[in-house]
Amino acid sequence: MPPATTMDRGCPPPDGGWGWAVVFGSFISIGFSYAFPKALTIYFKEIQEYFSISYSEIAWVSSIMLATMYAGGPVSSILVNRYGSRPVVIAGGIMCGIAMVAASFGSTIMHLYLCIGVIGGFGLAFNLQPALTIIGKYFLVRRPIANGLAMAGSPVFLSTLAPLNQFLFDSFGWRGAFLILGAIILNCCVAGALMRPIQVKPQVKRAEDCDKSDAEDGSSTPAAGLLSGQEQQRKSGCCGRINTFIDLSLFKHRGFIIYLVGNVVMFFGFFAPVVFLAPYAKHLGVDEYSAALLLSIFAIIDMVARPGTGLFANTKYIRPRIQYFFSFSVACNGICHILCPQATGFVGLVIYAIFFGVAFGMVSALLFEVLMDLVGAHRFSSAVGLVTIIECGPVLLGPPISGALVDVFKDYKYMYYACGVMVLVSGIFLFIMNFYNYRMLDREEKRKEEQEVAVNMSAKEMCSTVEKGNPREENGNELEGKLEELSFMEKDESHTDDMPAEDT
Amino acid sequence: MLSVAVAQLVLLLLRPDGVAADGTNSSNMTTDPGMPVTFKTVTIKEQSSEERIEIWEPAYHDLSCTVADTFVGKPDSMNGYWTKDGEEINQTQVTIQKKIDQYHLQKRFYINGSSLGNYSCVFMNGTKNITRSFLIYALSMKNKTDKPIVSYIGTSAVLTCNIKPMPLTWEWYKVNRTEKGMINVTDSPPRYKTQMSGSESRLTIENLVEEDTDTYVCMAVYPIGPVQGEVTLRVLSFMEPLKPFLVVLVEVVLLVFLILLCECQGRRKGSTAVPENGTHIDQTENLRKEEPSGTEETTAKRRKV
Repeated sequence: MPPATTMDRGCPPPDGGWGWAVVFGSFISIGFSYAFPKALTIYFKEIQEYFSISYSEIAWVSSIMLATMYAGGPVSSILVNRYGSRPVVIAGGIMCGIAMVAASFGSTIMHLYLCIGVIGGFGLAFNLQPALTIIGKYFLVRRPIANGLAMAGSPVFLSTLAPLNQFLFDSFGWRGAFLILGAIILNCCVAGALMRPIQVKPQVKRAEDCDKSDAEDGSSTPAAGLLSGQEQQRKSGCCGRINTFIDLSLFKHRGFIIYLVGNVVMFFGFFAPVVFLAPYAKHLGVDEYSAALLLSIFAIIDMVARPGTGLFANTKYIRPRIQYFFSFSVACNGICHILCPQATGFVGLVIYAIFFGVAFGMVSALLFEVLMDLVGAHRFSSAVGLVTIIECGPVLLGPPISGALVDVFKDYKYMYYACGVMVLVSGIFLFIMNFYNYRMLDREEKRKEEQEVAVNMSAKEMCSTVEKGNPREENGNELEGKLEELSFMEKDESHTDDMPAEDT
Repeated sequence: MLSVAVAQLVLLLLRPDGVAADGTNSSNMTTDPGMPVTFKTVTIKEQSSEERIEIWEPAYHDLSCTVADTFVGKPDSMNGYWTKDGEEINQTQVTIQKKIDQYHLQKRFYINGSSLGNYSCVFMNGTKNITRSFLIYALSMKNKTDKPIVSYIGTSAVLTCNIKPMPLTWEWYKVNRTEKGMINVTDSPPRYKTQMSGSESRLTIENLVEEDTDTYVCMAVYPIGPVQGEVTLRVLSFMEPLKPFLVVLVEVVLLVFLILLCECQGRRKGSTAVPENGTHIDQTENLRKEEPSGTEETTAKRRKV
């Protein structure tokens, strides 16, 4: 089921070495992307008074930034498909830096919307997608760990940026703080510099070989690759042209659709509980400092849970069934929220925060890993772009709808029930659909193997080698092993995935 | 008595807003028709703390204390009096008769700016006196924060003060060391702008200069007297944040340069592509043979699913 996990078919990922530096770069990029819009809220009160506007008007800055970051996904994907991760991340970092510096000279709120919201949002989008994509290029065996470590950037940066922002604000006011933040966010360029492109000169030849192997294995859906321009001639007209930029054939991909539907439903109820954790605590009578402590507990547990989940998902029992693990994590989130209203008092809330932190971390760490697992690293760049722009809606609508629920019922528990149910339903949906998907993929596998064996057997007969005779054909497993041996002999470079490779 | 108690209870609930929990009623029961009357009743229980009353205008205050007879050994009558700041107020001593198992002590006080203090009712119960206090003090401004507002030369700054309930008027002062100079909006050039919207007052200073770094006093004027609040303003030049900005910028450029340099050197040695493939072959062999389940390619495992 999990197909082309190699960059160009037959060009295997290093799984280490410079890959860890790339993980660190992704850590920085992802950290800024997710934490920056949230950390900016510290300045809102002051800016609100300065411009004499209401709270909802200033909150638009964060919303526009988040929306643009998600909506900029496809643009980012197109650029990454064309130019690779490094230039895009560096460009993104420079954009964010310029945006913040321009914002520090802002004289109206529109100025802030444009600078921070639009330009800053695009800059962050150019950071997020490439950072995720390049992990898939550098890692295969240890990819869940790499993903978990990189995604841990979000809580780490949030915990660091929040007190840093407060300090900058106290010392320099919001204008000076924006100026300095502009410089700090330029560190994304450092992260981009770390993202060394993995294809260097010999790869051109490899691409041709890889294309040959495509034709042999009879892949049904070619992916938009960096070098495989000739494959696009299969599609006709304008679809073909769009497909050189971004792979729209993903919408026919069963696993991708399942992931998309499950995630869209999940995101409606995913972020709202985080937003409302502190207000709910205060509603229950907890004082401000303890409410802040709850958030810190949540962040620390989240920080630890993400790489932990990555490690756990990498074990030999979980890795092949990683989709089930993801569905299980999502369902855990849902159950956590449904049980939340049972928590009364500070101790109950602490227990809830701990469980929520674990569940949230698990889902976050696996979120993009399972997508990579489904579509393969080759098409991941396009996939993540399409996923983020479609998730834009639920991510932005989720918290306001939950807020409306709280306002209407004057009680937080209905909001928690609603969020819990949405997330739980999506978890169950993902579980069932992935079960079906695995079955279908197995069936397709078997069919393909039989076809390949037939082709190869006839080829071998022509070359007349007696040792590799027929008796082993009946056992499917051994068939696998034999095919691998055959391919080893046929090609120079090593293939990590031959038969399943083209199974998208 | 009961009807009066009911009336008092109703009046307690009528107060729409404000810091003090007591009700205001300008009925013709008062001695001065125009003067508001506030009712404040406390029932002495086991653990009553003192009552705090915040005032901003001169008014009559009806303070009353009620104690149940279970506390005091059920005599038929008790003596009681009022004290202010610990000293007994003259001619306030009365004899209280027990009514419905309760002893009630009530007195009307006229309180203005000069008669603030701690008023207590005292029930003389043999050797031990039962007393409860009403702490009547002037309204004060709760400062939102003690941190200064930071702004930059050439830009503008907004200083705000908040207080409830709405004062009669607001005044702003600039504290030049020890002197207080009132801020005049008719200064030329017109740099100061004041906006007053009920409970909030905003002072906007435009075209800031360094000398504007100061403590600003906002004064809310009430019938009882003015209530002060302070806001500190700090004006910086753009050089201040520019220094850390340049430091971080230099650091970013250095790091990017270093990383790219290392990469170029590594590439010159020709060590990037080919050796990696060498190690890959090992890894992928391990992939297949030793860790077959570590990857997604093993259909065997998947079939078990």
